Amino acid sequence: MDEIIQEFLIESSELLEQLDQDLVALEERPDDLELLNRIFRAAHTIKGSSGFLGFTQISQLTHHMEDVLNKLRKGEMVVTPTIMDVILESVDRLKLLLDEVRNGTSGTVEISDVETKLKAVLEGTTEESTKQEDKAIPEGEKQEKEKESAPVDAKEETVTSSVDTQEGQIQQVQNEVKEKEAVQQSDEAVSSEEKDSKATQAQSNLSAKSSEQVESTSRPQSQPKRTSGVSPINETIRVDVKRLDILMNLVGELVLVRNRLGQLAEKIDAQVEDTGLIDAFNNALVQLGFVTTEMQLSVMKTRMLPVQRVFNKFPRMVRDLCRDMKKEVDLIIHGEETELDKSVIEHIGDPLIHILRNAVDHGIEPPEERERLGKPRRGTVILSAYQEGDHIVIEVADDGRGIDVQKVAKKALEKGIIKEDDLQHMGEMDILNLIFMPGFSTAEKITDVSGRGVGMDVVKTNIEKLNGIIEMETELGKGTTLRIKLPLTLAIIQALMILSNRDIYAIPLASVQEIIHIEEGQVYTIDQQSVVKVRDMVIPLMSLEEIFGEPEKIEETARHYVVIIGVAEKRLGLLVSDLVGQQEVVIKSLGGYLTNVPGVAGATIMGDGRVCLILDITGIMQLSAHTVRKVASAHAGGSCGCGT
Amino acid sequence: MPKILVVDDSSTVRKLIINILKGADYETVEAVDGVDALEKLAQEDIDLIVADLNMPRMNGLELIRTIRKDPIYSDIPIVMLTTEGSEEDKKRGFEAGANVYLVKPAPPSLILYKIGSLLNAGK
Repeated sequence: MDEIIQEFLIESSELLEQLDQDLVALEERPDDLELLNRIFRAAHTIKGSSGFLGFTQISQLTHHMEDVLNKLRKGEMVVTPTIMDVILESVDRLKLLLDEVRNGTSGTVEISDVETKLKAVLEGTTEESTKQEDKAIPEGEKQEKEKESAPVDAKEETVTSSVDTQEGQIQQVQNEVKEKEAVQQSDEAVSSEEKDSKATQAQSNLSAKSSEQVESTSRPQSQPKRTSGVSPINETIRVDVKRLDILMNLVGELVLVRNRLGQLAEKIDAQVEDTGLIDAFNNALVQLGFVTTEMQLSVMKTRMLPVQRVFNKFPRMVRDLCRDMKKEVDLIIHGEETELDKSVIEHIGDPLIHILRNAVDHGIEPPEERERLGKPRRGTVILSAYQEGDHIVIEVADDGRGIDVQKVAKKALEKGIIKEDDLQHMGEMDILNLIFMPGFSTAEKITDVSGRGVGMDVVKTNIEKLNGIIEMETELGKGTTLRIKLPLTLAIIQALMILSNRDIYAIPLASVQEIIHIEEGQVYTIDQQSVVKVRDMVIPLMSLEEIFGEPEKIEETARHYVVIIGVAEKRLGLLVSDLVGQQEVVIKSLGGYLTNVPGVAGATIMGDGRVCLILDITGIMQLSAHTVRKVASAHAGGSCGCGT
Repeated sequence: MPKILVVDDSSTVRKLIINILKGADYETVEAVDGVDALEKLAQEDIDLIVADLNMPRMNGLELIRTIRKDPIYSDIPIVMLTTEGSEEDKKRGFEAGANVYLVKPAPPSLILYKIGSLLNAGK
C-alpha cells in the first residue's frame, strides 16, 4: 500500500507542477483547446487515483475543479483572471493536501472556502465573481472563524475518514468476499474447484504477504515517466536516490584505487626488469583508467536532472508577483533542458527565486514609468541556462532600471559597510559587488516581496556552497544581468595539487586563474603586505601557513611558484613550495567533528594513501582578508619566504 | 494464467490495479493510453483488457471501438474502469463495446469478480 501511496504522491506532484505551468500558459492562450484538455486531464487523473486511495478531500476538490475546467473546455465559460485565480488557488490547496498525505497528518487543510469559490465560478456568476473577489476575503475569514469555533468536530471527521479509508476498504473487500462466496456457493454452475481458487485468490489479495510479492515483482518493471501530454513514452525507471548516491560513492572509491594503481605502477616500473610484463600492466592500467572515466561520466549523468524541474515554478511565481506588484513582466525561459546534478538542482531554487524577485520588484519599473521612459510597457525577464565547458551557466537578465552605482555607494556608506576612504580606492565593479555584502539592501521601501534584509549576501553564500560563482553586469536604465556559474557535479572535481611546506593540498581547478613563476624583485611590499604585479593587476601574496596561522617554519628553499586563485572579482596569490600536478579528486567529508573548518572544503585520499585537504577558496579568501589586517597590525614587516 | 492489459494514464491507478490483479495471480501488461494499448495488444497475448476512459492521444471509447472493429481482437473482453459514472457515460461505454462498466473507485473484490466471470464466460 505504501508503495502505491508513494507512486500517487510522485505522480500527483508532477501533474500539479505541470498544471501550474499549463495554467499560466492558458492565460496567454485561452483558446488553446489541447492545453485545456491537458489541464482537464491532469485534474481528472488526480481525482481518479485519489478517489481510489480514499483521499476524499483531494478527490472532492479536483472534482469541483474538473467541473469548472469542463465548462471552459466546452466553451461554456471564458477564462478570466478571476477564474484563473480560483483555479490556481485550488492547485495550491491540492499541494498542501499532498503534503498532508506525505507527512501522514490530516485535518490541517480546509478546502470548503475554495470549494465555495469554485462553485460560485461554476454557477456562471463570472461577472459577479469579480465583485465577489472583494467579498471572498471576509467570507474566507468568516469561515476560518467558524472553523475555529468547532475545530474538534472538523478534525475528528477528517482523521477518521482518512484512517477509515484503508481499513474501510479492507473491511469492504472482506464483506464482499463473503457475499461473493455465498453467491458462488448458491451458484451451481460454478464448479467447486473454481470456487476454491476464486476465494483464495480474493483472500490472498488481502493478505500482506501477497502485497510483498507484488512489490518485489513490480519493482523492476519499467514505467513511463510522464503520462501527460503527447510526448513520446520513454522507457524509464524510478530509482531511489540513495542507490545512486551509493553508486557515485563507489565510483569515487574506484577513482581513488585507479590513482593508487597508477602510483604503484611507477614503482613497479623501477623494480621489475621484464619490460613485456610492464607494458602489459600499463596497458591494462590505461584501459582501467578509460573505463573508470566513462563509468564516472555515466553515473554522473544518471544523477543529472533538467533545470526544468526548478524553472517550472517560475512562470507562476512571476505571474503572482506581477499581480501583487502591479507590474507587467514577460518571463522568457531558454535552455530548460540543460542538465545539472541533482544536488545542485535542489539547492539552486532558493537563490534563483530571490534573484527573480529582485528583478521583478527592483529591476522592472512600473508600466507607467516605463512608458514615460519610452520603453515597452511590459518588462522582460529572461531566464536562461546553458553549458559552458564543464560549467553550467544560469542567467537572469531584466530590461529594467539597472543598478545605480552612486546609490549603492551612498547606501554602503550609510550602513557603515565601507568608509569614505575605502570608496576612493574602489572601482565601479567593486562598488557594485557591495550588494553581496551582508546587511545590504537598496530597496527604498521594504516590500513583502524582497528587501527584507535577507539579501544578495545569502544568495551569494548559497551559490558559493555549490562551488559556484555569481557575477553581475548592469547598465543604468537598460537592465541588470546576474550570471551564476555552477560546476556539473559536486562529488568529483579536477584539482591542482600543490605542496606547501611539505603538506599537500588540492585546489579546485575551477578557482585557479593562473600559475606564475616569480623571481626575486618581482615582489613588492605595500602596507606591509607582499604583492606581485601580474600584467596590470596588483595581487596580494600569501602562503597557506600564513593564512591558516601555522607557526612559521624555516624554508629550505625560496618559493617561486604562485598560484593565483579567484572568486568573482577577488584575486589572491598563493605562494607554494612546489606544484604536484592536476588530478581528479573525490571529495570526502571530514566527518562530524571537523565540518565547517574555515578554508577547508573536505579531504581526499591520495594514490599513496595519504589524506590531502581540499581548499575552500571562498573560505581562503575570507581568511586571507583577516590575515592581512592581522599582519598589518602585528608585524612591522611581512615575510613571504621568497627572499624580498 | 490469463494475461490482462491494464490501460490507464495514471501510474498510481495502474499500479493499484496491477497489485490487485497480481494478488489474484493474473499476469499483467500496462499501457499508458489507447495508442500504447494497441501496440501492447499486438506484442502480447492478451486475454482481457481493463481500460480507463479519459486518456491522452486515444481515449478509452476510441480504443474499444478500434478493438471491436478489428477481426483479431474483437472478442477480447473489456472492462471499462473510470471515474465517469453518469448513465450517459455508461451507455456510451456499452455502445462502444465494453462488457463491464465499473466506476472508480470500485472495490478490488468487485473488479476481480467481474474479471473472473468474463474470463470464465469466454471459455
